[in-house]
Amino acid sequence: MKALFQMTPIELIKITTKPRSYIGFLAITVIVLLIEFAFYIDGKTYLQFIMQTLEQSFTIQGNILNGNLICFIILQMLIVQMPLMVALVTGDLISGEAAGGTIRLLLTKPVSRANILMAKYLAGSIYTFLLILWLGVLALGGGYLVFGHGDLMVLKSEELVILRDGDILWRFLGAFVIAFLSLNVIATFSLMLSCFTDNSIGPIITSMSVIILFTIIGTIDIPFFDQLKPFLFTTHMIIWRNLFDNPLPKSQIITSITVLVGHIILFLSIAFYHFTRKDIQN
Amino acid sequence: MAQELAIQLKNLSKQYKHITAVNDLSLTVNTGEIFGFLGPNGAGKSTTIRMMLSLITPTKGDVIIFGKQLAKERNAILANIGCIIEKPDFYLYLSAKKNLELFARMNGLRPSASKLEEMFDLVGLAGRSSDSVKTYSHGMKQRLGLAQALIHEPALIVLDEPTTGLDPQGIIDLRNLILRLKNEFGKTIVLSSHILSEMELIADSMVIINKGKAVVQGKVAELLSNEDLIVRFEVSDTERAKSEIGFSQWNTFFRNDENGRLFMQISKDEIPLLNSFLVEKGVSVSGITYQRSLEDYFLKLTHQV
Repeated sequence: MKALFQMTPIELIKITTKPRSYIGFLAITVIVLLIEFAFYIDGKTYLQFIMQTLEQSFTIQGNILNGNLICFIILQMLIVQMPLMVALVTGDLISGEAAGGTIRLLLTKPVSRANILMAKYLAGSIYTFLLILWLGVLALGGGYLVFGHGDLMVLKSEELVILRDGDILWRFLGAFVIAFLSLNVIATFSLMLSCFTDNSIGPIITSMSVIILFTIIGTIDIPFFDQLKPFLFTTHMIIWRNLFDNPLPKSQIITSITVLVGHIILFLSIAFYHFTRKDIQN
Repeated sequence: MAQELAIQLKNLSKQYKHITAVNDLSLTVNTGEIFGFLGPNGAGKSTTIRMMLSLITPTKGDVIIFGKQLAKERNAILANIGCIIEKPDFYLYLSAKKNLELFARMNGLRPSASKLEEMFDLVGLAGRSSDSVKTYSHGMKQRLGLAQALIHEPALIVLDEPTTGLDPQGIIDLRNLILRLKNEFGKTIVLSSHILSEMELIADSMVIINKGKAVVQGKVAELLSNEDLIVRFEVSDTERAKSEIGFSQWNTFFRNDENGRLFMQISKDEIPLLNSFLVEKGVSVSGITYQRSLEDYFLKLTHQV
């Protein structure tokens, strides 16, 4: 345990001093601010166009274009891009050491390989958490600051969900927790791949390829694929949207969280098994 | 009293599918000595050293360092070892000082700024500690590697091919530093190299391995004393010297070059005898230099396997 406390800050220093670690933060900042700016300029017109059909059946009053809606839209858009930002850092955690040759010195220090891997996982998780936190600050905080508060209207394929302003914040917190878990699956997946190779590009590209493949399988309605979908982590990564259902589909959410945590444990176990037995020959 | 053993390798083997990298290798290294690990490229030196440092898991056999079994007490053993494995690689995006600090922290230390500077002084990098490692030459990285290997004051230092890529001055500096570490600080040092003359200058004991097996092991002075050297004599009268030697016990091998220098293949012990012989015969000797017939020695041993 002492070794873990000793190694995790060291791994965090390595992450925070690498320029590539800031690409994610920069990308989130640019994308979120761009979306908020666009909605600030043209949001009302855009919403009027979307709401045209609804207004034939409902009378809509109040501030629809508010911070809650902006945050929901941003989450919807960015959750697809963020795995790349995470894999860019976590896919490099072991393979980067192998490529740079520092793994030889690292693994001759009096710290077990299990602790080194765990420290890297924790540092990667902290990085992922900070990315999500930054997204939350910009999307939710920035949204409230620029667009104010209001009820959230979520248009789903078969229904329109309206949530009271006072009933939303906890849902966003839950959504960010699930987003963190989802990205943590990507972090452990790319970390696991990183144990098997001596170059950083491989794990990053493979992680993204798997996400794209699983997402494609998830969107095609073929009976064979339907059988696979419950086992794909990408199916459960979008479960955060269910937090905005009324009533809350608790069992569905719990199942998805269990599957995501299961994937994290599975990927970490494979990484541990391989990394603790790996011969360092380069 | 028997000298305490720093390292014991017992029947160490490493098998990769169809290749035996190290084959039933056993050896011992005494504490406080400089031990040379010699062998041609691909002989199994690096694999053995990596097994000693837990980078590679042996297929068979034991590594015992300072009486502790590596398989059981890895961390306790590694806490007492400093090493450079092949080329010294560092985090290029960090300064040399930050690199050294991080590696010290991995050893459980929190080095003060003065301790870090002291290490930079020791390895001859004073004034360059704040520079990014990216700007370091190979020789400077090698020095930083040494600082990294020494900062936690280990009893055993393992240096895998430490002179590779160093300029002549760098090699001399490194050699002096290694000797200082042994003589002043009592460290045990294991060096690997494929250059015998390097070992001859600093190692107390050595092992020569080939195809994963030990070909010869022992004290360097004893192993090399009976080996022939190529000795160069600079004489006043080459023709006369050749003629005298031709009728002597040393007539088996000699040649001369266009500058009037004689080259003889004789043992180290015979140098003063031949020198006296030439002087007695009226040939002045103005210079004697020798070169170990490394390749011959090496090939002779390695072909025995």
